[in-house]
Amino acid sequence: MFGEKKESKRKLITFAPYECAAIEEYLEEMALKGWMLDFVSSNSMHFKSIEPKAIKFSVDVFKNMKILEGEDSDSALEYREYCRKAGWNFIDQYKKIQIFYSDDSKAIPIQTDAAEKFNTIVNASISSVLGQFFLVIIFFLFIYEQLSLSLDYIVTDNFAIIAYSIMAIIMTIHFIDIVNFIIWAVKSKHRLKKSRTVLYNTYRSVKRKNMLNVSVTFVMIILYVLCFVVDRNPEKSMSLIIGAICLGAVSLTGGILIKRYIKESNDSGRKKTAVITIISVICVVLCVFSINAAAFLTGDNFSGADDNGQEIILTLDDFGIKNSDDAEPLIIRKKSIAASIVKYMEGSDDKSLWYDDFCCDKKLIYDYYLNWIINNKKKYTSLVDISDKFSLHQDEKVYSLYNGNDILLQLDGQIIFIGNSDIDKDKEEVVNKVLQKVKNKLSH
Amino acid sequence: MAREQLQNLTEPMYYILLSLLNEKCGVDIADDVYRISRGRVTVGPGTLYGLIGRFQKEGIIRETSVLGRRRNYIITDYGKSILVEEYKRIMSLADDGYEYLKGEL
Repeated sequence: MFGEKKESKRKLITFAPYECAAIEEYLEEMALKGWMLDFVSSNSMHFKSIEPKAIKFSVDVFKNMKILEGEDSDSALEYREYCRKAGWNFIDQYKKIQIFYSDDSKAIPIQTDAAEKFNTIVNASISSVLGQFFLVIIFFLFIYEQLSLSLDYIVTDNFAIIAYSIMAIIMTIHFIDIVNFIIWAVKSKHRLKKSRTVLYNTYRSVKRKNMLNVSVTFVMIILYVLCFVVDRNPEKSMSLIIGAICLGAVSLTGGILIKRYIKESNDSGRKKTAVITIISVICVVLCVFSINAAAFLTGDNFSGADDNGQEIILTLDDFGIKNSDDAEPLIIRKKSIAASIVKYMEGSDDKSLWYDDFCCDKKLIYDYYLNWIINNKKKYTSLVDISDKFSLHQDEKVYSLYNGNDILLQLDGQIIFIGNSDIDKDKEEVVNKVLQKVKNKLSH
Repeated sequence: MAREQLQNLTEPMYYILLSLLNEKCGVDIADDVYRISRGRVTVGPGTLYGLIGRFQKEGIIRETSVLGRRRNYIITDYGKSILVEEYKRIMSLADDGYEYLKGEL
């Protein structure tokens, strides 16, 4: 019925231990609006409806909390007993963070020693900050390696563009988090040395951070869905969806199993570590398998069916060479919102032709790809500019590579690399043939 | 490092050790500190729990008995020596202050 207040609600919110004061402020605001915290989960807080009133909250970090001992370990219960005696009622916990409330506005704060509180928060944050740092390094190395090795694959595939953009965004968000924490820790340490109050983040800044995270996640989901629409490759889309579902299901099941085992088992610490390690290894193996299966299904297998509208500029037939074994040429076509590519391979051992024909009308991407391919080739051989042998426009160039018959053509919006083909033709004839075909294509 | 930090006790540390001259349950110490200091010093439960753990680790106090979730503690001889040292230091501060300020008092 309209106008009737709901009994419960859920709010998406994530926070770090050093933002505990901001969460206290938030919970107090919610209580004044008639919402009392019921319980917390990994990325949200669940509230129940109450009569609006002023309630004091304390979000504290319990540094002796051991994940393997579960949420209600003896030490945690003992600690909560200390708090209860001081007038603080326990609500819920998330990792090392313990949330209490008190109806007494004059209740003694749980932490009365600023330096002790600071040290506890820093200690509790170290593991998650190190985890974030590790993630940033892994993502950075992965993106850097992929951009160095497979730029042609990334820029010509919408899913790859989105996937790498998402990774870059996640990396940036975590990097900003790490920097924020370090700045806060250094500033606070300095303030403590000067016997000044430690300043904790306000709810406003946590709200801003959460809004940014939610907006970025929303944009990423929209972009990902758009990819399915733009790509129009149902088989590829289906395999990606199945891959994502498998990945999500494996991670979720593994997480639930571990959490339940920690909570319900009375095994020794060593046995718990062994069981958790085994579950984690099985989950990682299944995740890797899901990723590989999706990558295999979305790889070049579908490229033949993916007509990117790009013409085949060169075949053995153009040089009057008949394919001896009548095998069909292998053509891989890829197209994204940024660029398209045709990878062409034809012929057998005695006569063969292979080349990559990259097309892009975005100057920034075109220049980046050109630099990438030139630098890649320069690693193994030297490039000689032989443009003066041909009639080319001002920005067009032809390079000869000294490791066989390789040729690199830098044309208007098009970069063609003709590999070590064996067609008994000199480079000039091959280049002229390509230029003629490109000109014909343009005139059509 | 921890030993070095404890050479000068903070006010809450001093009063917790005073309170533990008699065997006491951890959760009751905060009230005792408040009583001994005549309401001047308050120790939050989180701070108290942390300090008890630290004192125990340093051998300044020891656990005497466990009843359910209630653990009783008492100061050790080593803890007493630290407490007496701190008392003497504070008295010396007070004496020096008195010597120079008595005209003003």
